[in-house]
Amino acid sequence: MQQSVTSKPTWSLIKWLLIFVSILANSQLVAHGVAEGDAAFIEGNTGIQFFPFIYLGAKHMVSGYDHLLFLIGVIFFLYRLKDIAIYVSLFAIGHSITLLWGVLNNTQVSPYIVDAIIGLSVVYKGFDNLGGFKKLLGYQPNTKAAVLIFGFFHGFGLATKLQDFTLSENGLVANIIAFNIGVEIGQLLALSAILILMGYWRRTPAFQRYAFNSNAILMCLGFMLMGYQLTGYFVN
Amino acid sequence: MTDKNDQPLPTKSELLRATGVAMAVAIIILVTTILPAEYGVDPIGVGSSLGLSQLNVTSVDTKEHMPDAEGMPLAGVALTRASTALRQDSLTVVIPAFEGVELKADMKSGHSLVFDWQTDGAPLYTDMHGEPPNAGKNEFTSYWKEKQQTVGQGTLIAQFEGTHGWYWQNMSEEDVTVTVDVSGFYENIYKKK
Repeated sequence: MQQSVTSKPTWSLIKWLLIFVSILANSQLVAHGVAEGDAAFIEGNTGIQFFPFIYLGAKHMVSGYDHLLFLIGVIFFLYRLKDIAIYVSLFAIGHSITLLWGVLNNTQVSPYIVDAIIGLSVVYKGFDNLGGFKKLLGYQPNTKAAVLIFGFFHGFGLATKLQDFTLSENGLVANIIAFNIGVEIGQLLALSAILILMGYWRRTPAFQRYAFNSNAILMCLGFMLMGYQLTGYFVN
Repeated sequence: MTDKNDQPLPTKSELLRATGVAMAVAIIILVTTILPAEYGVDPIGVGSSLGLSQLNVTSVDTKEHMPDAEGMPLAGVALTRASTALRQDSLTVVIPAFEGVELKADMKSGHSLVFDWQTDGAPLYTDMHGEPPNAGKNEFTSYWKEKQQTVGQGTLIAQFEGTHGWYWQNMSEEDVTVTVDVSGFYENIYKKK
């Protein structure tokens, strides 16, 4: 059984990768910023704009493939709804803390470095799902702690997106909280879609067969995000 | 373990191969497509042969040839004639903490203005740029961008009709006051927030 799982990783890896890349290339996903039209809104507004910021937060999460890849990695081997709820809550707590803290303290961190760490979180989770840490270290590092800690970095990433704009002090706290609520709504929506698709996939024998390669692809995409963002850091 | 990972543990060589292939494929895609398209970084030239590097041409950084060009007209223009009256304005603009303010002049194509501005101390992120009338959100041309600027002076020659001017962003916790002296051929000058 193990042999069939890992017999020919190279070709199917490349094949699936190409499919994924072409999906990305054809869509309007934005990893590094809030869409330009929304940017004008964020800069132009003053005062509390509760629902618009909820919408922006949700939109950022649903269209932010870096966050989604990490979530896919996290729930890959989670079957019970209770476990999913625990892990997703940890992720939400982690990124909410740093989102609020980062914007309110005007913490200046390079968005490229934060996004590279988010890429690393995808690599980490993919490697973890492969059983890499168990194999190399001889034990399983705490998966809940990892989700929480990487959640902190995802939150800094969200904070830098908002900080790209000159946010008005007027109604700032309410607007960040609205953005945060939107992020959670967007995460739940994206997660539901991922869970439905994975639910079908898990019921097929293909899931067991491709589980190894899928996580290798996840790592590959994480490496791409890292390279993309690190290059951006050095170029800009 | 809440993780229901009942996959057999891979052998070390399977693990290394998967990681290695993942990294190698990532590097190949980065070098051949993502980096040329996103940043114009094209180490082995595949990006330009696929035409991907073109995606980056629009963001030519005019600043790169600014220092050498000091005192020299950028496109060899020695004279531009004007049809509007000569104006002269002295303004003070307050840039509130963590906010950005734009100062724009309406100019006809070929008209020029001489400017000299300075802050009362703190440096600002600046982007001197212009856009045609009724421009879309991304339809602007940047002339001079700096991350930490306290003084700016020079001559601006409008390459097209529209609004031309400065965007200052204050990243500090204190309000910053900018004093601006402008003279030249422009119809009006105004602050935009």
